[in-house]
Amino acid sequence: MKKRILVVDDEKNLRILYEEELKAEGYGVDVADSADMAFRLLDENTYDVIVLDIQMPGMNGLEAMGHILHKNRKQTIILNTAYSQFKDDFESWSADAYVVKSGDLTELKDKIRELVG
Amino acid sequence: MNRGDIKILVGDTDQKSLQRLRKILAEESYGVWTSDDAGELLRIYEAGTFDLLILDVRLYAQLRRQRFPVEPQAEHFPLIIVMTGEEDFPATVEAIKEGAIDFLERPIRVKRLLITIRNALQHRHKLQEMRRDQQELAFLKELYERIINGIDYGIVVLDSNLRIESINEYLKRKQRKDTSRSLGRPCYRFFYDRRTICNDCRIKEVFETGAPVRYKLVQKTAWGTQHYMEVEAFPLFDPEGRVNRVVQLIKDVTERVKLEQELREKKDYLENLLSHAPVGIFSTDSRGFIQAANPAFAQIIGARESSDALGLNVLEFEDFRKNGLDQKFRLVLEKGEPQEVERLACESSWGHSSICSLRCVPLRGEGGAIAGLIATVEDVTTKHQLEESYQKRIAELTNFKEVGELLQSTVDLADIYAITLIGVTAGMGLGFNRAFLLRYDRGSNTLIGETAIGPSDAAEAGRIWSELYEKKLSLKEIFDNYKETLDDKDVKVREVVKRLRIPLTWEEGLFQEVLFHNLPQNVTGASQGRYADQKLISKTIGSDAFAVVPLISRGKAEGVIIADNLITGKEITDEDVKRLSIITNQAGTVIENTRLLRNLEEKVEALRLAYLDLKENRDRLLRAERLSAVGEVAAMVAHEIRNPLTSIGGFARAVMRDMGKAEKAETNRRFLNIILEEVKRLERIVTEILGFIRPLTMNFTPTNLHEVIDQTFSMMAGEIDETKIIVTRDYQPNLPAVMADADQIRQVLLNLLRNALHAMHNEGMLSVITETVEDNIRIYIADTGEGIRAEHLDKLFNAFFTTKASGSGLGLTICMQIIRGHGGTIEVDSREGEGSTFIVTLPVRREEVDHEEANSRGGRREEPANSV
Repeated sequence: MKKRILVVDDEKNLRILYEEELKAEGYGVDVADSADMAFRLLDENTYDVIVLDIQMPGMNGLEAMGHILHKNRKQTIILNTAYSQFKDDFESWSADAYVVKSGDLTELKDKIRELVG
Repeated sequence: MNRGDIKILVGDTDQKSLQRLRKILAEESYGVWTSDDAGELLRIYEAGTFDLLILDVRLYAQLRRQRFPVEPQAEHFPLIIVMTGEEDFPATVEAIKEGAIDFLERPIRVKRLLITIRNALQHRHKLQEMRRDQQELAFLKELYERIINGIDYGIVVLDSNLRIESINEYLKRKQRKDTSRSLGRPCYRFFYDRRTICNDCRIKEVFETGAPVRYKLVQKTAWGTQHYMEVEAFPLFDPEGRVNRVVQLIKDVTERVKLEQELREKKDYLENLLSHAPVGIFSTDSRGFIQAANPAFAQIIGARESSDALGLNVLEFEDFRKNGLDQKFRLVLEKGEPQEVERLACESSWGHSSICSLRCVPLRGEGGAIAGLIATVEDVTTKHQLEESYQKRIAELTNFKEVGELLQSTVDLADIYAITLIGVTAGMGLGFNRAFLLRYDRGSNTLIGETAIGPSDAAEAGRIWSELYEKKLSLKEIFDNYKETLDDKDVKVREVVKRLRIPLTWEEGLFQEVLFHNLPQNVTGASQGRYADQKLISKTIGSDAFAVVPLISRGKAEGVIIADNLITGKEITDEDVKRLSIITNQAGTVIENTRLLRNLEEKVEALRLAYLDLKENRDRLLRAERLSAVGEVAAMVAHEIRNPLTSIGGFARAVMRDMGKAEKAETNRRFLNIILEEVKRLERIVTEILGFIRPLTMNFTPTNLHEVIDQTFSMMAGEIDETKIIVTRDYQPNLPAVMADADQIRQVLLNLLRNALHAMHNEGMLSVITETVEDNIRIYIADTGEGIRAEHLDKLFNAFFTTKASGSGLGLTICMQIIRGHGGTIEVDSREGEGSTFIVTLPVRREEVDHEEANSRGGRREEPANSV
């Protein structure tokens, strides 16, 4: 059974990148360009990991994480952002992992593997 | 009959003889008609009524041939005498055979004629009499037959051998058997199919004694129903006075017997009912004397048996007079008004007391006159007691429930105390006169008076209680009232309770028992008690008898409740104490919940404060960091370029990894394109950042803003033409020139107009309006686009704030800096879903702003946040 990952990022190119790279790792990948779209997908699917961007138009990633965890406290979430200062943010403590965006996806992939096995 | 009334018709062919006969008969005064012709004779005969016809025998024969009637059928029939000669003998014999009564031989002698006539008339008279007798007989026969066959009696006539001589129709019908051969058969054979006479035959008796008998018979039908017969048998005598026949009259009385039986059963039933009815019933005559009474009534009035009640007069009976019942009975007997009395306490002179309900109605005799009365008396003592105890119990439970509900409605300790005390004192509840609540203070090991409810004296009690009673207030309403009067200083019990301080430091005491051993106490004679604290409390509340129950919450002593009946002096039962404990336990539970809730609330509040503290610290930290220009720019730039860098890096790695794989060539091409795209974006960001960071040098010249706006639109012509957006420009005529850097203003306008276009998604209206307000020129740039979310308005001009996927977040910041450099402002008015209006305000006469200062304002240190 393939592990399933939902990538939420407003950057189109980054979505393409993550989708391609994570599929190559053997995961099932869905992408969402906003928190709203992520919620719609979550209504119908379950994911082993959600990779969540913080800085997004509309509802930002931290807020979205609140909603998602409110519905399912066990949901595994990796925050993936360009901002390193969010790491200190009170709210981001609820995430299972926090990864700073980088062209080198090794860290992200390691975290995913660590969390879903 | 006179001779003249006797009509004689004479017919003779011999004219002479005819004349002679006429003469003779006329002389004898008979009425005479004559003719010599058969046809004429017939006509005459038919026209009149004749008593006698004297006819020549040949004429007679002629007439007979014309169907002349000779039979003496009718009431009036003519006698015929034929006159005959020797040769006519056979015809004469024929006539006599046919009915002629006599004949006269010719020649006719007068004497003979007259004798014959007289004889004939006499014979006729006898004949008429005989016929009348016959008719009479026939009539009688029919009459009796009809009677005998028509009546509802069976009638059978038996001869001396008991053979049936006659039997009537009714009996035949009833017997339902072949009755055609009944006549002549012995009655026992016919009725009972017996060969010998019945053993108990009574008919024989009649034959022997000649006296009639009556007896009853029961006949069983084949299907088991019984028929009851009443038989009357009487003798008929022969001329010698011997009984030769017996007539039996048999009447079927089954219906009557059944009715009688039913009636008897009904009577028995009613009598049974009456004597076993649990309700006393009696009736009197019109003077009030008891005529009938059942055992239940006797029991109620305490008499030994019902006959003891007979003859008593309800108008005089002492037991009734005592209760005024005699007046009620009088109303019934005299006015005919029915009476009802509910729940009357009766004390009978036989020493029996009970609670009764009485109903009484007049008995009416013929013509509606009051003939007496009938009354039912029901002993409702048990019912009444049960009802009372039920009602009390219901009131109690209601009270517990109401108290419980009220208690649940609050988390305030003072309220809980008050509700508990109201439950203890409310009339429909426990109904104690007063209640005091003492709180246990663990630190000082003291009971401290907390609150109390109750009137100060009997007068106040009367007033309060009757008011409560009249208004029928619910506990909730009483509680609300209580809260309103809470500030009244002069409530005595509250004054008393406020003074109460009972240290529990004595070695032993009433309250130790109550509070620490959880033992409710019903205290009497408190002032003489052995405990010091008991005496103290007795003195303070001025009461010698009271109940004390512990108020325990989570197993911990919370306080005590003291309740007494000082005003009414009513004894406090152990049951009362038990109920008091129930309410107090309820209160304890609620207090426990309240404590838990309060603890929880406190913890939540502490957490919330801690969180706020933390957040503030973090925000302060972030702000501090952001305030350092370098740090801020670095962070912003880092973020802005991180996304494209991540893309570029990521795709570059992918391409490098798959470079040699032919099947990946297409994917790699796509990835390389993305890389190029992202690089272009980076370049744009760098340009914007450079433009933002570069010190602005302003070149102020008098500028016509309308020209600048028009130039901007012509620069954007291509972009606008691609859309369906309508552009309107509403310029104020003679707009004064302003001192401005036209290039920079153009950059501002370009930015604002582009934003407007984007907000509208190819459709809508873009309006540019200019106006002078005092010393300022205002440019309104209004769109009908999606608008700006309220929470974004504040951040709109912040550097790097953007809602566009590929925006740098610097555009409006730069605009703001340029306009500030001109001593103006940019404001925005926007509603989500309706559109936005940006208002650029520029001073006409530019203040003497130091260029250097203006330039430095364009720097990064200024926060543009408050400009919106």
